[in-house]
Amino acid sequence: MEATLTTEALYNQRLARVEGAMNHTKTDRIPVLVMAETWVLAYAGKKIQDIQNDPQKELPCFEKMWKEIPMDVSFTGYFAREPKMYHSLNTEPYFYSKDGTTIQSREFAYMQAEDYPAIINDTKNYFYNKNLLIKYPALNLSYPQDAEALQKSFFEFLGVAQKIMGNPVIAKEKWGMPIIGGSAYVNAFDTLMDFFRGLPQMFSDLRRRPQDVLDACEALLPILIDSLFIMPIPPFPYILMPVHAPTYLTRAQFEKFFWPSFKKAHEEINKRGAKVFMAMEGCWDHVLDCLTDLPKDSIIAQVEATDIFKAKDIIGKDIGIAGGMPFALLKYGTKQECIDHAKKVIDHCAPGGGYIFTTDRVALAGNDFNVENLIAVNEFVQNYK
Amino acid sequence: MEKNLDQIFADLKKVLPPDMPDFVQDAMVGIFRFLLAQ
Repeated sequence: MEATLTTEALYNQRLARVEGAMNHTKTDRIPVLVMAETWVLAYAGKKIQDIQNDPQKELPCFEKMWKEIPMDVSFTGYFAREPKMYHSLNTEPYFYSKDGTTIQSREFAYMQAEDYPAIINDTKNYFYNKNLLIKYPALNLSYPQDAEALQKSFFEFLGVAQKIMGNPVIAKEKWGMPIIGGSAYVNAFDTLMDFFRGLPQMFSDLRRRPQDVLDACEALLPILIDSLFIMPIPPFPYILMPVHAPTYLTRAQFEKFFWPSFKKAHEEINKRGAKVFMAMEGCWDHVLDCLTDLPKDSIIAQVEATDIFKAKDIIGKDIGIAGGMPFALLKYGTKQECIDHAKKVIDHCAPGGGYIFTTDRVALAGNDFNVENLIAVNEFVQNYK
Repeated sequence: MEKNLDQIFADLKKVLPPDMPDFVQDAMVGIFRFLLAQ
């Protein structure tokens, strides 16, 4: 029936399915989300070098996916990190993979343990000034070399901003395709771990400086929330919240260090009327029940290695669940095995609403899965009653 | 004394279109600075 709809009606129909999953309300069928980023390059027969000098060349790669793959909603419509933004600052936190298919990141965290008092007591200055001077050697140059390096980086950023603002509009108006991920929020614990201390140092801090970790997370929270709402946040797309740490934490560590600032952030975001698409990276089986304390119908949680059946049973009444289709099965299984698995997941997760069918990970490389299997399961889900 | 980066970030507004509202200019520079920090 979708072929007879106008683009606007198609968009509204697809969006209604996604919003139904968020709000646990009845919809005509389960929405199908495709989680793909640089995978679209391979799908379009391109490599990074074909598009790296013109960010606008990304869009046709996404459009090929929106046109050919059965789906209701797209994870993104652009590559959010531009490695060239960092080149003039003499750093390389993001880089193109050697095979030219993906954008990768390396740990880029240089805060020393003795800097805890500064990040706790002089947070804004540390975050926006000292932190940048540590990370970006070019900013330590004399004027005007420092300003010139920064300006070059800013021009690259403006190219990224143009995609971020423009591509979702084209997705909507030309393809009737909602993009689920909007402004990104990285929670306080992950920010401290990923962008300041680094993973090994952070785990040492949990034992040697537990109060400093707690105080730093509390201190970072207002800066992170303020930056998220620097521009008005619409009801859709949802705030994209990738969450890294819980899979590495024991339950006791999760409750003590991670949860307090994480819960406060969710409550504040909910209070301001925004909703969240949370990528629960790794396995959260050991802490799932904690999530029932978060505001109802304000989050869709995309599960990776977490047991999706357990997630549905424990948090599914309050939190939307997305996931269920493993890359490994799509890559190595037969079409029938993939469809049988999709049916099993839907039969468990769909009753009561609050479910989006998608993969367990974001597709980055062309060989992440067999695309024929993805097309087969997506078609099956779109017709399964 | 630690170098202060406020001025070179503020100067970035000069490369934005002059008809762009001031609060949008501030937001663009603010988001850029935040992105570099994270």
